[in-house]
Amino acid sequence: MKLKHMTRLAAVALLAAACDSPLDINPRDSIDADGALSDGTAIELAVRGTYRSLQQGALYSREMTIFPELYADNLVWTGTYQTDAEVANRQISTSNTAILDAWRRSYQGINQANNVLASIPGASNLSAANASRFRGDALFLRALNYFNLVRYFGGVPIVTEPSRQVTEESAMSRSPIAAVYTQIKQDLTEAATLLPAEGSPGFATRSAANALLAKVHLEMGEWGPARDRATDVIAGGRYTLAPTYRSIFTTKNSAESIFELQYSVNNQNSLAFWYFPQALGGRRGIAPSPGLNQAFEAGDTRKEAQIGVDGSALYGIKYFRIGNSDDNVVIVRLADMFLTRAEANVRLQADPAVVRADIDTVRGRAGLGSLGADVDTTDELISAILQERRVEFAMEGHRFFDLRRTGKATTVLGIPETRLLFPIPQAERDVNTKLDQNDGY
Amino acid sequence: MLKIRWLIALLVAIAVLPASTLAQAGGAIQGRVTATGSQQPITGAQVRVEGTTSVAVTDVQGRFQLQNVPSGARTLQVTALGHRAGSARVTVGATPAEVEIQLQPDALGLDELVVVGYGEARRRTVSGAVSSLRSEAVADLPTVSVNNVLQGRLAGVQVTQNSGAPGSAITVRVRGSSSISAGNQPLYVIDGVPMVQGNYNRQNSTFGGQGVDALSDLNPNEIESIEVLKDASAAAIYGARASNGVVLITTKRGSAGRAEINFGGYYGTQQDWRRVQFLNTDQYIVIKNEGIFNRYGIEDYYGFADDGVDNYVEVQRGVDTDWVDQVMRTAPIYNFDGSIRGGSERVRYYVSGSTFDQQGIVHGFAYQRLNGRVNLDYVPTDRMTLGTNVSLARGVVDRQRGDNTIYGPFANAIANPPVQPVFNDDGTYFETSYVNPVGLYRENEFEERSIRVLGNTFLRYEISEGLNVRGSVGLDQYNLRSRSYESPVIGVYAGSGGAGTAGSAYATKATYEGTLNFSRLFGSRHDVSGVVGASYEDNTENFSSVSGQAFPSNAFRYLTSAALINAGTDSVSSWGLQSYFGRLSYTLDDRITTTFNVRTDGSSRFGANQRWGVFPSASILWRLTEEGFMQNQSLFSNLALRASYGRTGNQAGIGNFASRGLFAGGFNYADLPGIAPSQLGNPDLRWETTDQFNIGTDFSVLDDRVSFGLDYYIKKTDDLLVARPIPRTTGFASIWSNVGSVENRGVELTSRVQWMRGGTDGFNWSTDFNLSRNRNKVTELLNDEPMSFGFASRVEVGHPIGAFYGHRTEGLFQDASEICRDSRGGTHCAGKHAYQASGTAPGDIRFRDIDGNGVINDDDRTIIGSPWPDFEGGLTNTLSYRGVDLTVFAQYSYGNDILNANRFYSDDFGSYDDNHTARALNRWTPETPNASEPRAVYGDPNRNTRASDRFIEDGSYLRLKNVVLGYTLPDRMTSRTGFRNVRVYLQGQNLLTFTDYSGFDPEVNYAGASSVTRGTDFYTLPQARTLTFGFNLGL
Repeated sequence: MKLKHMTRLAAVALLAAACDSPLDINPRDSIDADGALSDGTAIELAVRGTYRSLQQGALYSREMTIFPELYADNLVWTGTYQTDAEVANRQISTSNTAILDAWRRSYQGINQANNVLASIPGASNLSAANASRFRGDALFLRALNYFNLVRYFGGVPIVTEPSRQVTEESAMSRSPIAAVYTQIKQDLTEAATLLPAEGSPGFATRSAANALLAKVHLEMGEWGPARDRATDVIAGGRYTLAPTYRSIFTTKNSAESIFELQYSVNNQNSLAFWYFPQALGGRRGIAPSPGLNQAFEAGDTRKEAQIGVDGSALYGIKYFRIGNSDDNVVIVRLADMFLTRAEANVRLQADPAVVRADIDTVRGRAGLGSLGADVDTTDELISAILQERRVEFAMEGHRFFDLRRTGKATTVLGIPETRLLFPIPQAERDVNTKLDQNDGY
Repeated sequence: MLKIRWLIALLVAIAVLPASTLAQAGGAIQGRVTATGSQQPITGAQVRVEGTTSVAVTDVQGRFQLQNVPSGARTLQVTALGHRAGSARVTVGATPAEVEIQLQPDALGLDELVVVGYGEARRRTVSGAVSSLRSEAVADLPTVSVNNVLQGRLAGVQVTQNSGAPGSAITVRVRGSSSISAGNQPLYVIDGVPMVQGNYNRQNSTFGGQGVDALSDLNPNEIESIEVLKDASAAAIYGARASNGVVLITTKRGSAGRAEINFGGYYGTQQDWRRVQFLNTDQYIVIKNEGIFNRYGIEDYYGFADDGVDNYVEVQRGVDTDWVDQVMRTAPIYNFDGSIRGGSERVRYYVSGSTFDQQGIVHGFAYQRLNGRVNLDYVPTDRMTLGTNVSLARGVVDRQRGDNTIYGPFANAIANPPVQPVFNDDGTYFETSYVNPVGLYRENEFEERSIRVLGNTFLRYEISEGLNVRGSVGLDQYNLRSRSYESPVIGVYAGSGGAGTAGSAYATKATYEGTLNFSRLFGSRHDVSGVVGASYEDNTENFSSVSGQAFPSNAFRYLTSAALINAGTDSVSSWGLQSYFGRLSYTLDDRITTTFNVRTDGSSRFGANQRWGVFPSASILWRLTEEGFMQNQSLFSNLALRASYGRTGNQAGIGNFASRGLFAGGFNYADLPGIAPSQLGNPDLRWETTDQFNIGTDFSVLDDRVSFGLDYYIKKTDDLLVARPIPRTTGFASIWSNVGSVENRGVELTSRVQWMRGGTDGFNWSTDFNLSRNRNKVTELLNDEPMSFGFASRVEVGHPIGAFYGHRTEGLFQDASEICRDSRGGTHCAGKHAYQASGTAPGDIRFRDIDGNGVINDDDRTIIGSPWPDFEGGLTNTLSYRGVDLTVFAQYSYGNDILNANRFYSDDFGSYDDNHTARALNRWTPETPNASEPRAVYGDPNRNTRASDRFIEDGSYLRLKNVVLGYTLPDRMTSRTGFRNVRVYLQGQNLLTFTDYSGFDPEVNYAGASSVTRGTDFYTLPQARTLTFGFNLGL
């Protein structure tokens, strides 16, 4: 009897554990993806998260401003990262993890933007004004990510829906370059109608959309629209060239800045750390090339605003806030619009004086005199613009794209046609067999 | 709610049970236990009155005494270490019964009790593959952790010290690696309670993946025995966490008898055992100049300041810094511990404490531990035992950045050139190419302080003979405070005014468990035993950290002085595991034992549909020597066959919410809060399962003088939990999925030979040998797509996990015509593309055109090595003669490769500022075309340093791991001084190492315990050679 009693007791004790379900444990610092963006507040948070996605190391916190310079002739490799070295040697392997990360992080931002775009229609507590504002933000950011992708890799898969599950359809093939650009233009054109005219350069505005659109048209050789959009921004009058070149960077969100990623001590990048020498607390993993150093004309104030000398070693000082590591990254600014318009005008066979006027505006701020009237052929003007862009935008992530767009990359850099695009990362091709590799890789 | 119910259940049990426990008073039994043959008294034998809880332990004279034994005819069961069990019938009456019991020596330990999950069994009836280690075998060794203790001792248990950094984590693999992304470390259970294990430091990137081992808080000296459950039969009772094996740790307990006091200690010194040869200043300058000349045609780029040449880089003559020597030191190690154990029939205790201190052989590294333990058993009535085990430990790890870094003292000592001095003339640190390593270890601080409370309380009640109910509550509370301070003077944060962090990890594991054990002999032949039970485990982990920058000066080293507080985190995560389990074991005539286990586990980590898993196993043991037909032979003194099959699971290493699609915060922009999708959901996520088949035999011949154990197993793991890469166009890089399979097959051999059995005063010599061979193979992946990890590690179908992947070298190019000729005979010098790279020249490496397409690129990589050994094991010789004892333990690993990733930089001849190994002296030049190493050239245009078999080295080694020479004072001297025993010893660790590996140490894993990046050396700290002197005193 006693045994039976005890067994029963033990059974009760054992069963006690089964009664409730202690296994239903929920996270307390995340929320389930389903229904995460059901109201206006959540969507605003997700918009900010999408801006934040540009601040990955593979994007604007490091490589997006470095690689186009390092692959070209403005920067040299002085560090230990093999991923950088491959870019510097213009022999990027398909296994380069930094390139893979650029691909990945761009699409991460695109997915974030797609989440916002898909959630706006059904959201509660979202005013019409905010709805169009947030849609404009998301379209702008999606376009910027695609613009970076298409310039690195050429044609890429176009994803416009948020990811919820991994399916067979998740593996998409590459769209042609033109289709990617069509998507970018469509997004930016709509964004320009939705975004506010006024606002901090930390967030997208109508001018930011137009400025980016001007650059997109230029890249595509659509000279008229490139000129017109640049003119919209310039004539809009909201921006003026900063009084000195240095002040574009020493002053955050200068009068010249159209779209500028915001960093703070709580949200840092390591650009200054990578440029500064050890004596100043940096790592000097990349440095201005001797060629860049020699590219400045005498009297150009931009040289000492960008290049420092430590013994015999050059180092970049455009990003200089090594203490707080909070240099903002200027993605597009007014000087770019002048030079974009100048380049478009050259191609449109405009009066060379009109072209030179825009170039001279930029030169003048740098303390240089006007171009001579003898600079008047297409080749001379394009060369002048390229030279101007090289010293004006050094370390801002333009140089390789400028050389390629003007057809000079193969001669200046000594690379074959097949090195005008970066390789599609092999790791991505491993999981998506529909992706063709770029020629020559 | 759950916990409350459990507590109520336990309380009820406690309240109800004593009612039936009153026993009548009786008489006493006293006696003596001796060994058959030698007639020597046996100390420490346990004498138990069958059917009661009366237990006594014999003293030095082998005597014991039992009080209050119920009168009548009683059976005494006697067990003693190293002897077969014995029994005797006595009649208890008014006068004390006197009895003499003799025990047979038991070389095989067949009657020793082996701890199995949720119970114990005599080794004679253990049908699964269980390896045991007794604490005596590993006493006196200067080891930090229980994991060190296991190294080389047990077949099938592979232990690798990842790094020589004191207190750092250790890789343990039981029968190979069965998982790619989920955990591969075994489950650790101490005194029945699963432990918090793993690494709770959140700054792993700073240390190249080298973790702090939560297990190192356990003092090896308080361990009585360690059992490793290897096959599915043994481990399945731990179900969902048993795929990687289970390590059961049993701590020492008190026993009735005189208090026994032990005090011991050792002190010693440690040094590195080998230095890699690097270039001196003269050699360095020659090669650097050669490199620049070969690339740019510039001569004398480097030179001495006084050589009359205007060099680009002028070096001070007389400077020739041996950087490695600057950061290495001879470091002390010591340990002192004391314990007292004893008790009465009602109360038994074991109390111990220890202090351990190990300084690192690289400056800036150290580990200290203080710990104490109280194990109590209280027997309020004859049928009830209440017990508690409590351990308190404090650990302090001091370290420096290490491994994958250019800010680590050891890494920078390897990298920096000899031409740079340590200090400037004014005493400040010279600005070396890679931040001055001496400055780094002197100015920067990284410390981890842990406090651990590990304890459990249990109540066992004997309902009737052979039927026990047991309830227990266990708590493992592990708190780790991490702090770093990096100086404004030097290092990563020199530009930010210095930086500091303060963080804490707060991990709680609470375990509630109830079991019903039964054991009964039906008739005289049918022995049935087993257990049923339930348990719930509740885990909560909190992590927080704050970081700041801009310190006023080097004098202010805590965050309170930082001008900027730039980041802060605080997070919590929980998971629970609910389980029901049972075991049924049936033994017929001591001849055949069959055991069935089953456990069902529910984990909060999986979605509701996939939450529960069932893990069964079965095994059979046939002891042939008990069969009639074996009685007429005298060759085999023991012969047993074993077979088992079963299933276990694994859920370690994945996040607590891996199955869910999530949005996370922290995606802030412009100092405003933001959120973003952080994880894609996979509602079908489920357990990783391992099916294991084991067949084995144990046999001994020549009167047990020679014994063998042999096991063969096949372990197939399916539904691997893998963070599988997905198209990144989804916005995510990976998703946790069950994809792929891994297979481990292996053979384990253990043998013991007793060459001489001379008894206490004679000459004794025995040899223990073990050998394990495990073949690991990935058999399936999603679409069979390989995955890459680390520098050159890969997971690919048909190859072991973490196989090395890279190019194959085919010697050096000797002239221009070879360079232009591709593998198909085409010539390429005219175009931009030469065969390999545009800058390839004679003296560069020719890489094999594996796909034969005339171009050398990433597609020409292949599997070039494996980090896993063909076989490994250990060899122990134990000798004693009168008071002198000698133990010689060697450990070996054969056939494993090491990727010496240091050489990516140190063998990039003529490039950059890194110093080179002495291999540079064998480089190719036009004058020395038969050289083994490629030419020196700045910038390495041919990428001679790409991952290739050039850097894969044979990592085999044989190590004289420990030699202990001890002397025990004879009794006549000891007794005069009042001591029970006095022993002194000398110990040497890593005295000799035989290896072809060219790095500092062949035992290296730069990314910690990860299986996928195993066997890579990247500025990893080497093991020390240690000499210690120690003593043991017994009172």
